[in-house]
Amino acid sequence: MAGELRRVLARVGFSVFVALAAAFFALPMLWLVFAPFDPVPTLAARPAAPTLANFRDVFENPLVLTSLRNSVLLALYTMALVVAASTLAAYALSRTRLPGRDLLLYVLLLFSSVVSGTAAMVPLFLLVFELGLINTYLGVTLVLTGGLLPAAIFILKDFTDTTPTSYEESARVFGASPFQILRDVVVPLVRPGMAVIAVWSIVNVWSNFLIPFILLRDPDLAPASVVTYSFYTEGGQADLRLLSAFSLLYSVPVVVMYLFVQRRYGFRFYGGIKR
Amino acid sequence: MLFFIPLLYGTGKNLTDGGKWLGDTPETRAVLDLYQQLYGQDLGDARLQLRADGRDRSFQQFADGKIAVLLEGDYFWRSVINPDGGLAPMEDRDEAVGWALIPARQPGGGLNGQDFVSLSGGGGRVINPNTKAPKEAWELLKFLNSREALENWVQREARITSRTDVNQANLKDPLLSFISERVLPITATRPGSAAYPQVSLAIQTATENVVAGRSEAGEAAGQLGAAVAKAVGADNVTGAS
Amino acid sequence: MQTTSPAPAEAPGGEAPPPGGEAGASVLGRPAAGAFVAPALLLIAGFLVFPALWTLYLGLTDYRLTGAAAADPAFVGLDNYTEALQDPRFRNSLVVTALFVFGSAVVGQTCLGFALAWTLRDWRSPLRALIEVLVIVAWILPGSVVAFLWIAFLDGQSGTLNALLPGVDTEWLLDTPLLAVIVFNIWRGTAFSMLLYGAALSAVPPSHLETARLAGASGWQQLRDVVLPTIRGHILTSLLLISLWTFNDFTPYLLTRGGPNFQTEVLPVFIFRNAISSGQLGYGAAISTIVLGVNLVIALFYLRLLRERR
Repeated sequence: MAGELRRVLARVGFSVFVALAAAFFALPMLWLVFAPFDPVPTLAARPAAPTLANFRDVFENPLVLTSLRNSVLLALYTMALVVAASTLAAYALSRTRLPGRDLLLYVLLLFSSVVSGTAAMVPLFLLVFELGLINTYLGVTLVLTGGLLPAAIFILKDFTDTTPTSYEESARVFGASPFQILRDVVVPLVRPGMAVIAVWSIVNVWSNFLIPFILLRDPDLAPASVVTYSFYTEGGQADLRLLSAFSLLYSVPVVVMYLFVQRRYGFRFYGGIKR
Repeated sequence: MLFFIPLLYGTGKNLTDGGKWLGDTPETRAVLDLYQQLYGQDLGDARLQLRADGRDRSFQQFADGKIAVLLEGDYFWRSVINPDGGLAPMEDRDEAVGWALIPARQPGGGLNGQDFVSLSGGGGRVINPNTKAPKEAWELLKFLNSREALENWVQREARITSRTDVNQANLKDPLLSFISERVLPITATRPGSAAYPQVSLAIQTATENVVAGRSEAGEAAGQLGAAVAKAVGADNVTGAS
Repeated sequence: MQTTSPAPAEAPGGEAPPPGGEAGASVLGRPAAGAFVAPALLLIAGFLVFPALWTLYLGLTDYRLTGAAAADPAFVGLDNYTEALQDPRFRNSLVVTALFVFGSAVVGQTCLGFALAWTLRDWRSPLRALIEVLVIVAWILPGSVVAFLWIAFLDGQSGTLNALLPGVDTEWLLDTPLLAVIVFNIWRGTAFSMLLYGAALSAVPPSHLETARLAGASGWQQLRDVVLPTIRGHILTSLLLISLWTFNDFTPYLLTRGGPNFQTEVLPVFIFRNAISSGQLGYGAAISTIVLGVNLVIALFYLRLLRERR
């Protein structure tokens, strides 16, 4: 009887916890569901007779669609570079014995916090300026990649550390080049890790305001994170009609992209061969 | 822009006086005292002042008739409560909303001996001293400030321009022409010094402490003096230290 | 972010050779390894290390954004550092940040993330996927959007939270700003911990749990005696990463601008205020260096704990 009661209580506790957690995460998102369709949105998340007027107004701004496209481009470029460079590096670092290797990774990880702060703004600007890469996506991509690489390598190295080398050794015996081994043996095994890095890079770039803001001049090149602030008036006020609609547009692609990766690769932190 | 500054003008002083910044002086104390009276007697909503979006909310409250007097600039009139596309439009703006000049503490007691004072700001255009095309840059600058260019701008969006002839010919709106005729002649700007942002922060902190009831006016003036001294060096500050 | 490994003995910085790692040194010769590492190393050297060192150097000058010191900065040695250590606002910022990191990352995200991973681990239901998606979307949404969501959620008069709590009209962001910002960050970042612990839990050998269960251990005891020791390495690595990330998180600014009265002025906001708003870039750079130092201390602390289990 006590066992029964305990099981029932456990089930009730489980349901209550899950319900509360779901509510906690879902409730704040309500604003994004209601406000964009509200003709006079305020900070309250309340349902109103839905209208698409805000979207119509938002699209009158010629920069809106361009900026979303720019965000996608920047995110994809950076993701590609980060995934490629970090996979190569993580594989190499986990297959060779280098003294101080782990320490180096930790130090680089700490440095990436300096470079993502506002104090590094001027050095980054001057560096990119001297390289002649101001107002180019190459400049922005390189800077963003540099900042993301240490953590990406850190994560991916854990995946590559735990894939067994037997397959690689056999492939080596059969004369495969290191690159072929990486491509045909290792990558399929660490693909979930690469998917995690890909999503993480895209999410970081999508949100990043500071780097594109200081390195890009042309309004046509600006990504959505920068263009968001053009929906504030000269007095610094938020125009909620446009801002809510734009926020929704700004959020959708990145969520869709995550769902796509989740479907295709499973967005989980599994490493190597599962038991 | 801080409303502290035109109030300070009303006591006859500017932020910098004889090359030194104002710290803990009778004038700054008087301004902080005014804040203390206003918010201490609940004439103003202190909590609204403390919110990050307090200013935006005050606009809406004014439009809803909950605030009687708002100390704002022309931006408020033409972009916020403008019945035609404003962010907090008031249909009856032209009939229900009045305006007045900011009085000095006493007649003749304002900056430059004025009866009324004002603070202005805005954008400016400068030529980069390192330019390789100074003549062309100068021509462009001349054009940008020409009657033709400014009139084109004003006709699309009514606002105060830097040219009297453009203002007189084009500003039909009652408040904007009032500002152009009566306010511009008596207005002043804040010092264009590199230390200004830090001084501004010092002023904001001191004012907020008074508004929130954390400090008395005298105390806050002392805080202001100390913060300004820290920013520009004690030698460059007047007032009690 | 960190992953799990099927071999429970793996942890970064550890001595025990992993099943894949060093033993495979013969697979990848030195030249190939060098070539593989080169692209990342070049990018990091050029776009991370170089600007970071430059920034650290700026901390030794009186460089400003505008004014005479912008055109002609002077070397001031450790002046910025002594000024910082005496600056009450800096000390306040340090305390606020410590509370923010401890409350939202070390305690909040870890506990909630683990609780979610643990309770959902065997649940086969479409609702499980829904909850996980919700948690992850909270993390994916762009920072500016999320700030709006929470300003709306916590609004005193019309916010969703107060609408659900009858009779409550507290202005959370004004009256309990640090608490509000901590809860916000828990909402924002739990996804990472949840995913990591989910993976770690799935790697715990079921046989161990079975043995414990047969020996009469309750769910709680299984948790404490079998699961936690096994995944200890992952807990520590996760804590390290989220601590570092939260320490450098600027997002609270979007909710409270560091106020009211500096109560939520975490170090990244303090740096921004000094470097950009006040234009004192040299001082801001010095603070960045101090933050780097504090991060280093935190990292060393966690690494110590990691090594202890050997």
